[in-house]
Amino acid sequence: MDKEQALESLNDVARVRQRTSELRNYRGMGSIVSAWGVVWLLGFGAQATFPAAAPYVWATGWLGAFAWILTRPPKPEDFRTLATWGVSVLFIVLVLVVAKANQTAAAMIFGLALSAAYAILGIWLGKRFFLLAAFVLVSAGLGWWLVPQWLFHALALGGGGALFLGGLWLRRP
Amino acid sequence: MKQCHDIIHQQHRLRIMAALDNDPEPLDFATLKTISGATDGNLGAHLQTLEKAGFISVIKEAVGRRSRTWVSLTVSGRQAFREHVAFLEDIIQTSQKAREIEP
Repeated sequence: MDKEQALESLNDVARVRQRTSELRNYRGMGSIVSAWGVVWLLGFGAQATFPAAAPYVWATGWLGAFAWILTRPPKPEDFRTLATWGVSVLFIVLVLVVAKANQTAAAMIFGLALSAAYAILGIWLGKRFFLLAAFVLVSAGLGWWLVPQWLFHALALGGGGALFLGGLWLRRP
Repeated sequence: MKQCHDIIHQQHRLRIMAALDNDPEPLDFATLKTISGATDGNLGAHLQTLEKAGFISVIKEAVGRRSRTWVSLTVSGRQAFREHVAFLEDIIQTSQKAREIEP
């Protein structure tokens, strides 16, 4: 075997290792993304149809999603991962409170924040997350600028639906 | 320790071994198919070859009416793969040293 063949084989090994890590990340995150999709679908769906019940739906959804994440394999290996998400969410909530944002502004900001979070996952874990980020961004953007009266519907069906289906897609090799 | 393993050297089998070495958890047939770029029949044949050599273990799990195939590296398979990678790296290092010595 000559040097070129050895180099090609080692490059192949490196590519396969990267691809395998990507697919494992997708599979690990797939069920979590789908779970958040359901929470969005129900939460924004409630805001669109039964606003009075929405806070209870959101609270139940968030608790359910966290319970799902904590019990599904792979379990979070490091408490700092969950703490990072917790601090990020708390920061956004405090910004909304300080800015006295109304419900539609709060929904849009959450949409943008989630889109940014998936874009960051796209940088670190794999390109498929960019597509999820784009779906959420487009849903929020269309709702906000083109049909503001339907923003919650857009976030429920476009954002939540995209996350649910995206989670299923992530689990495919 | 470096050693050339002819069974691992074949491109698809090298990819299968690299994917399995990447993580202690087993991989399913569909994932290995995507990663290796082999067809169903080819992948099955390569897995049989590696299993006969004692490099991998294959477990079939019933999921409803279908079965799912899980593949993982054996201890000797992991060692053989790492020896083969060390062999490849040695070829490159030897070649570089020879080039440095040349006047």
